[in-house]
Amino acid sequence: MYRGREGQWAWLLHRLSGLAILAYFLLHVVSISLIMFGEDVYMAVHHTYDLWPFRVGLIFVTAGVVYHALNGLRIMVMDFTGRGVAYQRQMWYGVLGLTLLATAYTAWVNIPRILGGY
Amino acid sequence: MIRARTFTDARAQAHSNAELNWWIFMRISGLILVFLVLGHIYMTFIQVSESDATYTAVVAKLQNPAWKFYDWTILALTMLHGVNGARYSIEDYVRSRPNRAWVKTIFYTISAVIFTLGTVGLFSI
Amino acid sequence: MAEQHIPKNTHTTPPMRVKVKILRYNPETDKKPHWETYPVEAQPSDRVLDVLNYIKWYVEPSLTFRRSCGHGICGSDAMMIAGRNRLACKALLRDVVKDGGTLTIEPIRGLKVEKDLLTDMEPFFDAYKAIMPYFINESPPPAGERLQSPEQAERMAHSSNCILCACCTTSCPIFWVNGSYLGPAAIVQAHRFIFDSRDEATNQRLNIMNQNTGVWRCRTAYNCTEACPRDIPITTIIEEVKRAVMYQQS
Repeated sequence: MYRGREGQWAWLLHRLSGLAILAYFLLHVVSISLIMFGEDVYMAVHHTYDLWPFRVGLIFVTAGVVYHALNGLRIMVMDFTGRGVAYQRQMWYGVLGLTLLATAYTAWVNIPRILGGY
Repeated sequence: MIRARTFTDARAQAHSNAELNWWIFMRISGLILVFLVLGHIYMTFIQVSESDATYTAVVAKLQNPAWKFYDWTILALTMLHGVNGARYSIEDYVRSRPNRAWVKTIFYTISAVIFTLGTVGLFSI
Repeated sequence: MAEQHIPKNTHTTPPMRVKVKILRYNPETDKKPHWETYPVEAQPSDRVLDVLNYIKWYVEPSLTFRRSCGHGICGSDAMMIAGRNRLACKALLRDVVKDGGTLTIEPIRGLKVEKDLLTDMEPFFDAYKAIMPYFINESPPPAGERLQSPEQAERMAHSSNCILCACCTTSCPIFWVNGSYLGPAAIVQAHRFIFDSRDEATNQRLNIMNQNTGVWRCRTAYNCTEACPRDIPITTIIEEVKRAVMYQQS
């Protein structure tokens, strides 16, 4: 493993989260589009998604989306302003911190729902 | 300049703004998607429970053309943004040219089918 | 006879004992590279190059690596030292390993290993040649020199520091896997001519940077900037070239 610093891990996480989101997105579009085949088909899949592993998975999807979105903003700042590159490290820690906060909030809202079967 | 020995090399060296345009597209679509997707997650996963997305609820929500437009914008932009991002990865990691052509063809076909499915699903109700 | 000056602390600094773990490969006998460890006693202020020389001269004469000037100017001895690309002649032992620790040395990545720490640099220099690394100005030269203002010289000051050691290009995670990316070193060299006020081939070079193999393959992982032994702000330079291509085409 090459011992790169923040930038390397920011890039790797951005790529992995992007691919993971794409995979989830394609599945999500397929399952939602089942709506055109009527209530029974749609609800059969929807009840599967209500199972707890899927809903815990959704918390991770949220974390991936928030990271990808915030790191994307970091990349835009670097690309379009001359000074962004100098602060890439600090910005990345900001991205990680905000991602952690948003994930914690999502989990805090959703875990009681999952436990309560709501 | 490295002299092109194959058609693919020649095409890579031909003057084209394709990569520049995709680069700009990734940033503009990304900026729009930050708001659209985070908003979508907030409205469907934080404000209400995931289990609330029942058939009746989804159909009722999509009666409003504004939501249809919102959802289709996410669908189209995410599709282009995601497929192009995956193309970057395929071009990086799949090094043999015949394999890469096959992987790309299959991947683009699947994505196009899913995009059509999503669009038809969205506008059929 | 004049009194000879002897540095005082040469013999007072306690030596370090380190295990030097080198990724070795002999194409004639080995199928795959393998690690070999050499115990070495050395001064903390010794350079990694001194340690490699010691091993080659006194322990294992078949150890193969490139070095020439030994002073961080020629750019021959780029290798992966303690997990990061560095010049063996600029890395001091005390900065890369603790007393009693293990120091790993591998060849730079993304290029074919010929033997031990020696890689085939041909693809690296092909990318360098691709950006037309020579001054182009067809207009007749003035009577004196082609003058630059201090500001104009400052514009290319960083990129003209490059010694083509390949530390940056072979630290790039895209270059490791994408064989057709020109790589940071070639972009730094292109920057040196693109932002040279006296050079007239700016548009041609920007067109090369705009190709599929050019500047758009950069994903800003910053490994190049961290690795550069000349402290060139490589990512800043690549971003400048990206913006220059964007403005040229708009």
